[in-house]
Amino acid sequence: MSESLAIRVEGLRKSFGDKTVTDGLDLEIPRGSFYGIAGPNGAGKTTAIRQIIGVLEPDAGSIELDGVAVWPNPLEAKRRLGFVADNPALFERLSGREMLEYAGLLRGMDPADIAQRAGELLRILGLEEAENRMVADYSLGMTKRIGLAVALLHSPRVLILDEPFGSLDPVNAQVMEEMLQRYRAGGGTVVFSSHVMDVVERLCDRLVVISAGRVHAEGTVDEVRGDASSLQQAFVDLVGGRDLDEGELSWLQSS
Amino acid sequence: MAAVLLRLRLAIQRHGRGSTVWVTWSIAAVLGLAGAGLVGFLESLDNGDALVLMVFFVLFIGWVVLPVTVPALQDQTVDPQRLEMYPITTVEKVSGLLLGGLVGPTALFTFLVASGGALAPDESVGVRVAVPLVSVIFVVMCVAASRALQALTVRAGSSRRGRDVVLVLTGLITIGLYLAVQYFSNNTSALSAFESSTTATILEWTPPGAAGQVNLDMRALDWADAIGGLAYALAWTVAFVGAWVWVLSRRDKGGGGGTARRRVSRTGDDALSLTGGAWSVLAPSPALASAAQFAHALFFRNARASQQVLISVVFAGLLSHSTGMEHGIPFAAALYGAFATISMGSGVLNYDGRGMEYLTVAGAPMRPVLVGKVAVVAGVGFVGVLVFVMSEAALTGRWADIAGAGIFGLAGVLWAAAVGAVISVLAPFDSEHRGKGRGRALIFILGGLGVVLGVVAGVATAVRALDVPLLAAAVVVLALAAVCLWLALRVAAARLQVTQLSVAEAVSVG
Repeated sequence: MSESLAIRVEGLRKSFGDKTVTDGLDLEIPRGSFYGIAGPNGAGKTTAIRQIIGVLEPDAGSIELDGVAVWPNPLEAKRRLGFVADNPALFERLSGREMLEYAGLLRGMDPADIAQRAGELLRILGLEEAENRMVADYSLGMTKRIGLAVALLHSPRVLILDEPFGSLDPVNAQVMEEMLQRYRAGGGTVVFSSHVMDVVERLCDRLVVISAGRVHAEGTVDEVRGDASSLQQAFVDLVGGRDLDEGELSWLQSS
Repeated sequence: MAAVLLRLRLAIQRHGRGSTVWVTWSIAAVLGLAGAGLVGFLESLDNGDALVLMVFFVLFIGWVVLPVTVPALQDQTVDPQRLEMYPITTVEKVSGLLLGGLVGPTALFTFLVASGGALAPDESVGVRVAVPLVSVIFVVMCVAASRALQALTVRAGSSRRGRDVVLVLTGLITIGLYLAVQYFSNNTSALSAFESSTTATILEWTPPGAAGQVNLDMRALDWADAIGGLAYALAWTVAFVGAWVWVLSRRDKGGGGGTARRRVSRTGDDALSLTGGAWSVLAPSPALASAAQFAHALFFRNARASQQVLISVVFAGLLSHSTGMEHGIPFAAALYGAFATISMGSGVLNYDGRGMEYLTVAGAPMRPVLVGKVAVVAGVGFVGVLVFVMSEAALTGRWADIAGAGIFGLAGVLWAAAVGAVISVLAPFDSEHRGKGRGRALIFILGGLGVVLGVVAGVATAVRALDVPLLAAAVVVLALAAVCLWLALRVAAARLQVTQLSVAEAVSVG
């Protein structure tokens, strides 16, 4: 694997029964980049990410993350990455601070580092007031923020986020963007999936458009946009638009 | 709307239990018919009135108490909280859930048993037709009372004080029921009290007794009393439905929820709140983190987990005292340690919910995670053993036995913790939401209980037969139990490392 790559995916294939979700996916994600994975609903983005982060074993293909083969032994790769799910899975009966401490201790971090980093992350993410409240009582936006804090606590080499900006208010979305930019400036690689094209356009150096489990386009934002008026239009052109016929939903009107 | 919710419930039941659903219904029907036969027979007896009323009373108590004391028995087929997003009024919600509650194996069993009066000999056709109608009212009463109390405990569980109250109440109810069963099984002559007219008079004023008394009044062709009793039973039924509506509407308005804020109690910038306090004497490690997380769930954050602990330690005490003490404190202590620990420790992953998914995603080392949780269970079990041994020594004056008893008790704890760790990994399920895996887990837990208690009994027999000094035998047994635990943890953790994804799915149904 090239030293310049944070993630390399080759021929990734995964099927559930008769349905093929990732169909020979190839990706090369440069180290230190802000990389977007775009695609319509059901395109296979989350399935691809779950294979990359080592929780779903592919049927075929190979994945290297920070020079480490993710499969068949994903533990080493998991030490080097942080992951924030669309709805982060956490211990809901722990408070936000306790969850961070638990994550740090599980990763064998020094308690002093854990305390110092947890305090800073809670403050920056605006969770200081809620740090002693159970995660079960958090809103989805707060859960996403504490999920990001948990993923960043051990300062991973690669940060992977699944739909990170959904359910965040504009202020917190901006904070998260700044945090991710700072993380990238420190040498980290950010990979995130989204189907919100203006976010992808604003943040990413490069992106891949996936549809039906295959790569439809890959390159810098300008390359993928091509001659289209916007990245959104380029995306629709790539994956196929769907127009409503006249008369459809005619009942949908205020009475 | 009620019909829509009923269809929803039936669809969930059909998809959730698959082909086993008809087995459950068949068992309920067979047992219900047997119960109906018993009630019919009791009604034909000259002094059977109080016994008939007692059957109604026990049925009602089963509906009300069991789901609260044994959370796994709660009906969560259609969770009212899932309906909050729809424009359904509380009354519509309760109507639908009530109708759904009436269509279930437990309701069928109750209906059949309560309708037993229709099978009594020499009954008029009118009474045979009327009895099942009264039984419907009785089943509605049982469902409404049960669901109202469940809703109340869920609401109480959202605040710390509420959780404490529920815990104390369920503990007291459990102990009271056990003591009652123990008393009557050892004093069968006391059962004759139920034949007395005084008992019947008391029971007929209870809500379930009133429903049963209607049948007896109809049999005696005392229609005025029957109508009066029916009105009384109906009033209670309406009151239970009203209570259910009130509890759900309070929740809809946001009442009763705890703020769940806790005080900040950090002693310094480097101190961790998760592993502060008594935990801080131990070196920070993944196992310690896991132990602290699990202890938080058991004692502070999860009412169901806390109930499980309370019921385990209390039942173990009652069981060991009544069946183990005739063989001496050491055997009773081993029995206590084994029973309490297997009861607490056969599902150490079941309260993790989506936390287990976090562990998988984070690549957490599974052995320390499992070791931490099992250590908490063993610690609680051993504290229970010490309290049990000291209590029994104080009651019997056999203070010379306490050292051996303590060691035997610890051996029982370690042995049961070993079996519990294996069961936890082999048969995980979501303790807080109904889903697949509970039936399989029950088989494993019952099997594990048999193995644990069988080995305790076998070792006790062997120690007695070998006639070796008690303390020496205790130390050897403790060493063997420790080896078993060590081996079991290695095997279970290795298995968990491989099956963590399926375990995460099993424990996070909700």
